[in-house]
Amino acid sequence: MKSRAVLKSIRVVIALLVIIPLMFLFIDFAGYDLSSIRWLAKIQFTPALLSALSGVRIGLIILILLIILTLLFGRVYCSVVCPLGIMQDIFGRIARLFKSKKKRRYRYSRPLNILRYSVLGLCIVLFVFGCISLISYLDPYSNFGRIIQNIVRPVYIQLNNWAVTVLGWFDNYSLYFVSVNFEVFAFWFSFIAFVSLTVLVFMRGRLFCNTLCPVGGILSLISRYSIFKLDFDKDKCNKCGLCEMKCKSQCIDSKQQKLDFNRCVICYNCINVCNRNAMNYKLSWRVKPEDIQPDNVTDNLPIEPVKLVVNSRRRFLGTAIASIGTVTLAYAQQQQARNGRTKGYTKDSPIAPPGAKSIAHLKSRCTACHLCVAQCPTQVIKPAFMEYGFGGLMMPRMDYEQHFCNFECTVCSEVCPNGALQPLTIVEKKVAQIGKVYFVKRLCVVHTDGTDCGACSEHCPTKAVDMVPYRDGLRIPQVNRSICIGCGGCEFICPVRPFRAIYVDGNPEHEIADKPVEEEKKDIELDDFGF
Amino acid sequence: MKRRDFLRTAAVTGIAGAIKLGGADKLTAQPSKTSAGYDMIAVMNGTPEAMFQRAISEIGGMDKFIKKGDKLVVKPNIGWDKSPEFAANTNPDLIKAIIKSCLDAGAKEVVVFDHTCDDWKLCYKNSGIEDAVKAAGGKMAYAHEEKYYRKINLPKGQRLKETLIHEAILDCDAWINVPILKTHGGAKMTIAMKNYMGIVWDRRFWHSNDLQQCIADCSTYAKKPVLNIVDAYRVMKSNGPKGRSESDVVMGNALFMSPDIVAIDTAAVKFFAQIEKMELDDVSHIAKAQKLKTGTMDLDALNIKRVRL
Repeated sequence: MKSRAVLKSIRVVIALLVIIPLMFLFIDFAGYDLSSIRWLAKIQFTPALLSALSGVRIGLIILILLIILTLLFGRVYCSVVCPLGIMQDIFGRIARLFKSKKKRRYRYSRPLNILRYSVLGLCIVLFVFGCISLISYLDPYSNFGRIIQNIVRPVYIQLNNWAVTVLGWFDNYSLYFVSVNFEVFAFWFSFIAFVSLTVLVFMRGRLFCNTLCPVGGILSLISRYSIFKLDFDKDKCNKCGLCEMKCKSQCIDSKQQKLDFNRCVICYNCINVCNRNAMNYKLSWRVKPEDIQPDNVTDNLPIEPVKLVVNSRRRFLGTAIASIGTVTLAYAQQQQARNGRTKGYTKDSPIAPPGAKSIAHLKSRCTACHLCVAQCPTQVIKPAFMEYGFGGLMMPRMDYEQHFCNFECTVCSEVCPNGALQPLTIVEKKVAQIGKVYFVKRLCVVHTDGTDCGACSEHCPTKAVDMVPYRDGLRIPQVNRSICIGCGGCEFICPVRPFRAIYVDGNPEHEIADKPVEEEKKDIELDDFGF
Repeated sequence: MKRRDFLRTAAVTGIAGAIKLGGADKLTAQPSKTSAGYDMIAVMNGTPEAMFQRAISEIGGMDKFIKKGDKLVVKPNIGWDKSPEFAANTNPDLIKAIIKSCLDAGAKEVVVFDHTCDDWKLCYKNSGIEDAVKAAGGKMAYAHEEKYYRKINLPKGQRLKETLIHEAILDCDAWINVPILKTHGGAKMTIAMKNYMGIVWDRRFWHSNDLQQCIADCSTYAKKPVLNIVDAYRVMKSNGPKGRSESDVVMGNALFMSPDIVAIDTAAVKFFAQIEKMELDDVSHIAKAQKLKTGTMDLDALNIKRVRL
């Protein structure tokens, strides 16, 4: 074993140390205290960039460190920090099991720079004009988050539930049932990304990272100026081609003894496989573009770009079908709401999670990684469908259908790596008004049936919903919107169907609620039983 | 002490001791008249633990209500993600004392659960009850999924004819109901009968089908708690059942114990009425339950022992 082989081992170990806890962060439902590993989400490139843009100092520091790392050793980020990159490597590893020895070999392919930099440019232009969607759909970390949250987590929970049943046969009750929060649209959205990515990995290794990935695009621009670069030792190399066969970025042309460093994700496979120690990190103070980009290569695989066209066509078709489905569904939903208006009501605004400041701010910073969705203890945060419009697809929204926001909790605002949800202290959270309550008396069971209820008031943490005397000794809800924070406890528990008699409408701009006025604490001396 | 009294006491004690030694558990487990003949014990001015110890010994000891080897459930109110000083959940020290007493009386296991309103993990933890139960040697049961509940019929129910009840209650040998005394926006008061809402799955049905009647209906469930113990150490006088701040809380420093759930709720409302205005008629599930013959509101007809520590 060569001493330099240790580089790859280090890469693999660090990569596993990143991806395993990060994955756990997205699938854990047991409410373990994972605050000590949340930083793994915050060291991701896009989140660091976006939070730096929001003025979060730590985001800026991380961004600078990532750039320095790339300037030193190239796109190390892509192999040991980026969870989607690591995931692709794992898939690539699995793919090998299904491939013949010959098919396992990678071959050099020309860079698809026009595609790569157009995608990056478009991401940036759209972002500048206020649309983060393209970044959100292509950002590797966010895609990883969505895949784990929407595909792996439901499977994990289902496995847990089966385990509960099996353990139950042996009178072991250490595990408990958890309902699978399966979001159909989010699932398909993530699933399409997942399948496309898997296919790409099986066929072309890390092609995604060097074409569609905006982070890969930016880092490749930086890695041109890296101080240490991998390169051939032309004296030692005998052009055996082993390195090329192992290069999942398909950036090594062994015949020409060229390595396209800005596509290299620093996996060290080439170093590992070379029998002649001909692949090395070299100090390269000077940038020699002709070394990096072998534009003169002509003898190579004319079929490759065609394949990509096929892929992009498929992708386009997929997107088109998804869009058509989306529009149809949204229309149907709107119709349903409209038809119900005679008996029900329509809500004006979706509800952004606490810390979002405003829907506009959320939509300018959120890349829909779904970490808040995954980490929310009450699972009240759901991926949006069309609630925020097309630009807000998959972004977190509060859904009070089956859950409500815990008064004593600030988890979502703490985990958000993008600064889309800004950290709230518990004191701030308790007055962070994300929406306001509306009471519909004509639907309320106290009014319609003349019986006691009070479920809404029961759940209200601030008593913005209070019970006041009504007829026949009954009490009916009365709302005080100024102290309501929009947690949704009332809407969640209201038993009236199909339209609940109390609901929360979102604040497009989050406001600060008044603090409830507390009575002075009375000391009552009781010295009798009263009966 | 008169000689006659002494002899009588000695005889009773001797017989009781003999029964206990003889292991005639069946005899002692009948929750009918207590040896002292009390239907209810009311204690004031002590810690939750001390008041419980006094009450249980006055009523005749835990082994009068449970058998050796019983699987028991102790059902507190753990509805909210609040710490004990907010009086939203049953006092953890009281739960600890009850579990210890059950285990000392030979219970095989003691299970504690509640179908919480706030997130169950946070409720179990922040109420202090999970820790108390574990320290006392009991077990927490899960109650957050419908799978843990099974359907039962309530033939005597007016509105609530069937409901899903937690399997721990269905499968146990006996259960002890340990509510805390609080106001309630809907039911007016939440005490022992209202605490049944934590053993059922679908509470929304109750709320939309005459809450007060449903509470009374559920109390007709044949498997009644062998004991009801009302924690009135801290009392939530306003903004119940969740409460908002510590100004909703007054020190009641009291505890009530009775096998009769209607009587104990009646007594607790009367006790509460000393703190805040509360009409017994407005807490209408109590009268409705009496009508269904779950128990009696006529406290004068009962033999109540009142103790001030």
